[in-house]
Amino acid sequence: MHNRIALFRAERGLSRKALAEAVDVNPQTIGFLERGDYSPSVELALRLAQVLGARVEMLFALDPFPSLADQLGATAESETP
Amino acid sequence: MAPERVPGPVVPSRAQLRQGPLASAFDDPSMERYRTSQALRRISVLQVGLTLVLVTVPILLYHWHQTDPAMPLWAFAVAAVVLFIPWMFVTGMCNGSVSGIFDLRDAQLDEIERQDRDAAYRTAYRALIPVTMVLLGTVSGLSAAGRGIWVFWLVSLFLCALLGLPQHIAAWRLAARGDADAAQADGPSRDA
Amino acid sequence: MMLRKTTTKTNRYALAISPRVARVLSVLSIGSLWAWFFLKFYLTAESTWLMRAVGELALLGVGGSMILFATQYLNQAYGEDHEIDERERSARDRAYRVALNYVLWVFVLTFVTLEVAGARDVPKATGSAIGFPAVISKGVVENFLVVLFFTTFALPPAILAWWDRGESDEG
Repeated sequence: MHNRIALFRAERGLSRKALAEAVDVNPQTIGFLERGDYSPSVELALRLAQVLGARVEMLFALDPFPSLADQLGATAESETP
Repeated sequence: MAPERVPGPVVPSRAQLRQGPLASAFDDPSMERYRTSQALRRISVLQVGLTLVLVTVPILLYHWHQTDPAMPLWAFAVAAVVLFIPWMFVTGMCNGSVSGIFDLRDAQLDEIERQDRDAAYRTAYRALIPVTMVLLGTVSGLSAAGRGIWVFWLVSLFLCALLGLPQHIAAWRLAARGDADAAQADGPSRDA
Repeated sequence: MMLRKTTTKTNRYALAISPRVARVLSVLSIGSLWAWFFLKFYLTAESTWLMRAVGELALLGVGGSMILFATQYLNQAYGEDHEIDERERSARDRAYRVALNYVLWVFVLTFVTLEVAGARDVPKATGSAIGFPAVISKGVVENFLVVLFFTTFALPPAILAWWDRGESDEG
């Protein structure tokens, strides 16, 4: 399973410890989740999505996420007249 | 146009991983009859009974041989082999009744099967600590009383119990879940 | 080594040691216990100073196991389910699985070793022997159970220490 927890956490300006406290887990667990070493339960995924202000499918996916640079490039291309 | 999701590496499905001979044996439809609540409990009790017999009878025969030289030693060996065959068969049935969760790899099991297996190991391990303590006390007591043969019987029984304990815990948990599922299925439906 | 609150939900006090120290301690304590057991099995009672030295190994093993038991891994290994998070529970269950398999294999291997070694080396004792088919004294069985008891206690925290990456909470 792939995730964008680190990206959203950085975007929200949260440390691992702060995010861990918000979702009631050990701070080390956030590291495991971000590295993809642990797949969370639905409950934890929903709590993470709630705290990070994102939908679950924006945070987790079965296939790798496209790179942010590609996405921004595609958006810029579509906006160019 | 937004970029499409990059497809990840092709991961074999659980069904594909369960193609091997061992997994296929556990998935055989004929195994279903061993997985009802009643069958799970019966097989578990039968396995415990056979384990007791397998440990006790050869040790008693050996003890008999030691006290009475007229009793041949081969009787002990024959008893051990003869009892070992049904024990092995019932132990296999016990493993089959819990869907082989202790014999298959992580990837071949689903989430619930992995949870059941882990719960069984957890309970077995937590039981091991007080049981070892009690065993140590009992062995010391029996040693002081000069009952060496019972020390050997107890330690052998402990080893056999240790080998089968997770399977029995899983079997009784699955049986209880089967009963709960059956009760729910028989109960009034929400639409009624 | 100092007493510090654990990072788990309950914030219990535990001995805070680095994963590396915990790993060394686990090898030292469990290794000492087994060394004590096998040396005691082979040594004869005449070599008293050696017997005393071997006795020290047991103390080291028991002491090390107790220290390991009191570390930050205690809470994860033996705490209640609600005291740790789901990832910690999953690691703990895996540690139990590894530990139980270790105990089983060690039990079987020790049993076989004692039978083989006992049949060759141990003189046939009289009343105190257990026999079957080798002669193993009851003292050996008791020593084995002592080793088993302390290793059983120390194993889950030791395994968790081996899996601990020792990463910082911040990031």
